Amino acid sequence: MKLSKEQIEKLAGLVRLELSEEEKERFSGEIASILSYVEKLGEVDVKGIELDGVEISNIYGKDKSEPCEISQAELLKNAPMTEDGFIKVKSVLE
Amino acid sequence: MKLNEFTIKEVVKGLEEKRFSSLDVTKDCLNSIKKQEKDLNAFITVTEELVLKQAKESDSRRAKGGTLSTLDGVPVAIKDNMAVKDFPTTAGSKILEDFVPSYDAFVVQKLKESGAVIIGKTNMDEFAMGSSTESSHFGSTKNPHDLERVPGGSSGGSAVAVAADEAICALGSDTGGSIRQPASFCGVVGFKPTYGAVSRNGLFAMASSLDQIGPITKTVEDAEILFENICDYDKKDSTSNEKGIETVGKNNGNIDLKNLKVGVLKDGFGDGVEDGVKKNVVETVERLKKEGAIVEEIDIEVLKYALAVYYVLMPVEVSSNLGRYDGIKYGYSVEKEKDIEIKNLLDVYSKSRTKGFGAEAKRRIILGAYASSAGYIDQYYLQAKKVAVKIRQEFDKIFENYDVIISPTAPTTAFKLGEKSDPLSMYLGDIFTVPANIAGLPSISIPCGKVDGLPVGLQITGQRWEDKKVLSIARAIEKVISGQE
Repeated sequence: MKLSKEQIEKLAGLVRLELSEEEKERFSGEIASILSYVEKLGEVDVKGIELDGVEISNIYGKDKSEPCEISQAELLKNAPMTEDGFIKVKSVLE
Repeated sequence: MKLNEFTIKEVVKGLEEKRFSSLDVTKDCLNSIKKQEKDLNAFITVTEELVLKQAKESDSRRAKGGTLSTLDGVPVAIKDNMAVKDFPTTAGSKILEDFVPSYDAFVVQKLKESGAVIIGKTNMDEFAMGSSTESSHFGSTKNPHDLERVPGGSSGGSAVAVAADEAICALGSDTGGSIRQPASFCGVVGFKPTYGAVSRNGLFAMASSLDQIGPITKTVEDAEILFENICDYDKKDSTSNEKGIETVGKNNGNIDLKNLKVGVLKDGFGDGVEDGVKKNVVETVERLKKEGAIVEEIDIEVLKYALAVYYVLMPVEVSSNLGRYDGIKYGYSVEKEKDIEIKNLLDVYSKSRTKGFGAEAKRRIILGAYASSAGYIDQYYLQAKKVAVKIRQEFDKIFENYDVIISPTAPTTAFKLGEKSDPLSMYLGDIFTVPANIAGLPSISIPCGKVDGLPVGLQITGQRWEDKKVLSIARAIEKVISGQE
C-alpha cells in the first residue's frame, strides 16, 4: 500500500512541511513500508482493554500563577523577531 | 593511568583523599577530548572556560570543607537534548542550532546542586530519532572500537564520551533504547530507569510517554551513583512520580545470584540475532546457572507486536511534540534569511520547519500525522495504545514469578556507518529495547564480552520501581562476566 502523492501532500500541509518531488516519492514508499509492518497490530485481540486508568494518571497543577525567575528579556532573546518586548510575526493574511 | 580513565567511584575516592583535584581530572578529560574529537565527534559543544571555572569552584569548596555531595568535582557529559542554562542546546538539529536555554533541565539543576562539573553537550541523532547518531545535523559520531562503525544511538555521543574516556560519566535519554543500545555498541553501562523516576522537565520531548533520562557509565556501581543523584520528584513534570524517592532509598545490598529467578526471552536467541551476540549471552546465562540462578525460558507472545506499537505511538507523539518548532518563539527561522521570500505567517512556519528539520524528523512527523488522523486513529494509534496496555499486563504477570528478564541488548554489534539506509531495517534493531519503554520498566545494558573486537551488550530488565534491585542484580552479573573474560 503506497500513499498517493495527494495523500502525502495533504499530510505535509497539515504538519507545515514543504516537500520536494523527490521527498514525496521517497517518503511515500518508506512510510508505506512502515505502515505495512505495523499493520499486524490489527491481529491482536484487545477486547476488554480500557485505556483509562491503566497508565499513570495525570497530576494537575493548581490554577495559580507563580512568579517566573527568568526575566522577559531573557526569555525573548531566543525569538527571531521582537519589538517592544513582544514577539513579532508576519501578517496572517497577505 | 590517566585520571580521565577513572570511574566515578575512583575519582570520588581520589578527591576525598586529596590525591588530585577536580581541576586535574577535568583537565585530563579536556585533553582527551582535544586529542580524540577530530576522529570521534562525540561532542557538539565544549566550553573550556566554563568547564574549568566549575572545576576550580569545586576545588575551592573542597578546600573549605564544604563539598555539596559525593559527586562534587566529577566531570559529567550531558546529551544535547537537555537544557543547560547559557550552554547552546541543539538536540542535534539545525532548527535549534543557535538556541541557548534560559533555564536548566531538572537533571542539570540536580547535578549542579551536587557540584558535578558539566564538561560538554554530546552529539545525538536529531531530536533523539535514530539508532546510530547519523541523523545529527552536526555529523556522525564514530565508534571508538572501530572508527568506520556507528556508536549506536540516539545517545551515541554520551556513550562514546564515556567509552573513550572523554568524560567520567554521562547522561543520555532513552525512548526506545537510546541509552542502552549505544552503551551496548560502545562497551559501557547504560541504564534506563522506571518511567517517572527522573523528571523530564528541560528534556526536549520526543515521545513524552516513553522518554526517560538515565546514566551512561563505566560500571554498574557508577550508574547507581549517578541515578541516585538525578532521581527525585519534580512538580514541573506531571509524570514525575513520588515513588522515585522511595525507590532510590531502597538498599538491596549485594544480591546473591543463588536462587535468583531469571527469565530468558525465547526470541532473544531467534533469527536475526547475530551468532556472536547469541554465543556471548548464552555463555553468560550458563555461568549464572552455575552460580545457582534459576533460569527459565519465557515466551511473551504479545511482544512480537512491541516494535509495531512503538513505531505507531512514537511518531504520533513526535508529530505533536515537534509542532512547537515553528520559527516564531525560538530556534531557526526563515525570517532571518534575506534571500527567501516570505509572504505570510504560514510561510514562516512551513519554510522554517522545512529548512530546519532533517529527513528522519520529517518522515516521523508525517507518519505520526497519518497514524493519528481522522479515519486512521482507531486502526493505528488507539489499537497500538491498547496493545501497549496488553504488553504491560503480560510483563506484570511475568514479574510475579521472575526477578529479572535477560536478553541481548541489540541483535547485532555496531554496524558500519551508512549501512542501514532503509529506515525500517534500522528500526528492527530496537526489538529488545523497545518493550521496556512501552511498559515503563527499568532496564540496563552491561558489557558482555566482544565479538571480533566489537562489544556485545546484555540487557537486564525488571519490574517498575525495582530500579535498585535491577542495579544490584546487574552488579552481581557484571562480576560474573568480568570473571569470565
